[in-house]
This record gives sequence, structure tokens and C-alpha cells, in this order.
Amino acid sequence: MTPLEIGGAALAAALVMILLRIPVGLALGLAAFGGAASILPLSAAISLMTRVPYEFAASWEFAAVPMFLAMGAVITRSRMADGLLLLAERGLRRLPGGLAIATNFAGAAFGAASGSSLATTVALGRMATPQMLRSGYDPGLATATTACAGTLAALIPPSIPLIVYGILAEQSVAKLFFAGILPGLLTALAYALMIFLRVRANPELAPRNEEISREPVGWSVAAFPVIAVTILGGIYGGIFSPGEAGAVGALVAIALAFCQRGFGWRELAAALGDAARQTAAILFVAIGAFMLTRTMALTGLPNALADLVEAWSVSPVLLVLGSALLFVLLGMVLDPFGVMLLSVAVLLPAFERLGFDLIWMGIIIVKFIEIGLVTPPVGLNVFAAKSVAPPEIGLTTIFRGVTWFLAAEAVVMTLLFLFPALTLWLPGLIL
Amino acid sequence: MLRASDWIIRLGEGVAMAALAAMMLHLGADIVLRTAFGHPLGGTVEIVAEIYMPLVVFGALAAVQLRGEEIRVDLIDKALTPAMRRRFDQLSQLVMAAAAVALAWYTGGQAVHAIKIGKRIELEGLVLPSWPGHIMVAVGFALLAVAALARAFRVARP
Repeated sequence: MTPLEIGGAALAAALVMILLRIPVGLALGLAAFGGAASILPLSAAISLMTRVPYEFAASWEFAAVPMFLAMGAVITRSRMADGLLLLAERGLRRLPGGLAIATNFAGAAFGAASGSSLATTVALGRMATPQMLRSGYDPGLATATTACAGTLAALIPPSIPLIVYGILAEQSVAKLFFAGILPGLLTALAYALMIFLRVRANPELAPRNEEISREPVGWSVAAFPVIAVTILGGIYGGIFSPGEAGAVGALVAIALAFCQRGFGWRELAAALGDAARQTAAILFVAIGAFMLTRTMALTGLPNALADLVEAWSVSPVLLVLGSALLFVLLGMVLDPFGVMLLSVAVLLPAFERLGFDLIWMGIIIVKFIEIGLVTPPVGLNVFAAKSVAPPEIGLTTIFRGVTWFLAAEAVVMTLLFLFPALTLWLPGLIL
Repeated sequence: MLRASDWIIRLGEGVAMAALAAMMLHLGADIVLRTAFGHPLGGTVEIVAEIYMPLVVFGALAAVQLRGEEIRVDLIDKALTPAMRRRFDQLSQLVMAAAAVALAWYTGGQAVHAIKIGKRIELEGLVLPSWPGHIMVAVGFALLAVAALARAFRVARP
């Protein structure tokens, strides 16, 4: 077999193993090792692969991941998001579909203090879904809103996928954070507009909620702007790096959480445990993907692909559309991190060769990951929304509700493709 | 035996949690000292990267496996009978255990080498050994093998 064929076979083997329920990190690592051992002497392949875990984990840049995950876990465990939802509901309940729109914007605000889509969906779903259902909302609309509002955390900084992309693609995480703000807000607006128009056309989907909750909003809602301003202001002011911003955000979140009733040392320990395990789960996949990246470099497949794109004079638009199709197809069978890590390993040289801005590309890739989080059959956010929804609401109902949000996503993606300035203007202005 | 394996894995998770808390406080203290007094803590970047990070990642790895929180795709689940799913699960845990044993063996060798050559982080007026991070990688993979075997055993029980 030629090295190129070995590269293709390694990718195919990784996909097959993933489909056979082998954990994603292990499948990527095994495929990488098989590919490397087919090209190098066995001892060299073993040496190349077994050095990756330490080299990859012992990273200053990756320290941002556990820090931001700790911040999100503390916020989730302290239930600070509950007040946020109450505030949004009181402000927006008179609009058609007001509760759903409030949930959507609460998701965007929660995303500013949590880098995890799943955590955001669970936190919102626990409170917002029962309330929407009590108000007579269509179950598909109610559950799909929490599933899709959670995806906003993937773009609105701090974002774990953007940190991982920045490290793998060797791009500035600070620039990626600022680049994610406008597309994230645009997505939240598109979702809100879609809900508004749908409910205005068919008011039965979301009867107006006349019941006013007497529960006090509480001061905890102030935590979100405080944390977001601290993080972005600190990065903008050059006081700390994105990684250090995670530690500051986590410490601020812990201080605020301790002022919250029901949060103590036991909850803090549980939050740190959640963050440590999530870090290990993400980095295990990233280590496998990095092993595969090394094998891909050995096979020369990514460069051959880039050569091919150049030789065939593939237009940038066609390349982006082709990649979009690939992302959507891969997103149907792979988890979002797998899609991103594989695409960075294989496609990045082609994008670089055609002169794409890799900050813009990062936002586009993360948008596709966001979409992958809610598309069947592997829609992790949909599963998370289902886990906190009443048992009688089936996955099919939620996926059907998500279809409308995907239509809104299509509009946002078109705008981001046509106007790269929507992504690049803010980081260009600030950094 | 299974209970003993659970305790060892929880101990690893405890190490990861302690390292995470220490990393957070260390970074916070460094920023405060740097910004307020112009005196950063020496070697923060090296200590975070080479000591805390391996402790966090590899300390918690086995706990992820034991709790079934690893990232994987359940696409074919609906097409499988419960018995077939158990077999697939068992197979996947055994493959994980085998890979983890191999990784523990080779990364253990790297840790021994790091100790032999006295690999260290040299800071202003302070020298810290960097082998704890290397050892944690090997220990983490060994614990991962234990967790995968424990899960394979539990899956096999009806």
C-alpha cells in the first residue's frame, strides 16, 4: 500500500471502529497507530505514538479547558442560571413565544459564563422545559428550544471547542473568542426571530403565559455580566491570557456561588470532579486525534488533498460547500469533537493553501459542530434535552422541533459565508 | 476486589480534583502578584503544563471510564439486542484495557527514564522535578485498564 492509501485506510478504520461503539479517542488512537506501524518500523511507531499523551496533556494552552469547565460546573451546580431565566421570562413573556425566546436568550447569556453546550442545555432544560410545557407550549418547540439554545455556548466565549481548535490550528484563542461573539449573537437573534414568526403564524404552538412567577430573581443574575466582562475585559486589556482568564472566571464563579444558598464545599468538590472528568474525556479524544494527525502527516494525505484542490483549481466557494457537506455527513455519525479534530487533521492544509482566514474557518467549523449537536442520529444536545424532559416526549418530537432551528441556522451560515466581516470585524478592531 | 478497584480509581480522581484546585489558585495568585506588585510567581507556565495538567487529565481518566462518561457514538444501539449490546460493550472495554496496559507499559518506561536522567523544571532559585507528571501518565493508563476491566466484568454479569 502507498502511504496515501494507508492514510485513507486509517481514516476509514477510525470511522468503522467509532461506529462499532469503540470510544472515540481509542478508535482514533488505534487507527493512528496502525497507520504509523504500516509506514515506520514498529519500534519507531510505538515511540512516536506513546510520546503523544504526555507531550499533548502537558500543555500550557490546554490549561484553559479545565479552568473554563470548572467555571461552568460551578455555575451549573450553584443554579445561578435559574435567576437568569426568570429575568428573561419577565421581560419577554408578552411576545409571541415569549418563554421560548427568553430561554433562547438565557442560553446565550449562560454561554457567556460556560463553555459547554451540554451543561447549558441541561441547566436550561431543567427549569425552562417544564415551565413551557405547563404553559401549554408545543412539546417539540419547548424541548428543541432548550437543545438549540444550549449550542450557543459553543460560539459565545468562553468556548471549549474554540480553545481546542485554536490549539490544533495554531491560531490565537483570544482572536477566536472575539470572533465568536457576533456570530453567536446573530444565531441567538435568528432563533428568536424564527420562534416569533412561527408562533405569530400559529399561536396554538405557544399560548400566551399570563401566570407571573412570584419567585424573586435574586442577585445571582448579575454574576453573568460580571464573569463575561471580567474574562473578555482581562483578555482585551492584556491583563491575562485566555487560559489564565479561565482561572479568574472559575475563582469569580466560586466566590459568587458561595454567596448562593445551597452551595457549599460538597457542591464545590462535586463541581471540581465534574470538571476534571470532562477535561479527561475531552483530552482523551484530542490525544487520539493528535496521534492521527501525526499519522496523517506521515502519509502525506492532507497535503495531497491540498495539492489536488490546487491542481483542479477548485474554487474557494466549492471547497467550502464540499466541506460543509462533509461536516454535515460526518456530524450525523460522529460526535462534534471527532468531526472537528478529524477535519482539522485532514482539511486544514487545503484551506490554508486557498488562502482562507483560519480564524473565520474556525468559527465556520464550530458552527457546523453546533449544527451536529442537534442533528440526528447523534445529536448530543437533543439527548441532553431529552434527559431533562418528561419521559413521554420522544426523541422524534424533539428532532422534529429542531428542524425549524436548522432552517434559521441555514440563514445564519449563508450570512457568515457571504460576509466574513461579520466574524472578522470585531477581532480586527479589538486585537 | 471490584470495590477495591473503585477506591483506587476514586483516589486518582481525588488527585485530579486537588490538582485542578491548586492550578486555579496558583494561576489566580500569579495574576494578582503580577498585576498588583509586578512580581509574578516564577515558573507558573512550566508548573501548570508539566505538573498540574498531567495530574488533572490522567488522574481523572479512569473515573471517566468507570462511570461510562467516555465520548462514544451509540448509533447502532437501536439495531442491537440487549445481549448483543452487552457483547459489544464487553469487547470495547477489553480493547480499551489492552490498549491502556500497552500505553501504561511504554509511558511507564518513559517515566523511569525521566527519573533516571533527573528531568526537572529549573526556576529562579528553585528546582522542581518534572517526573511526577510523567509518572501520572503511566499510573493514569494503568488505572484506566483497571476501570475498563471492572466495567467489562460488570457488563458480563446479567
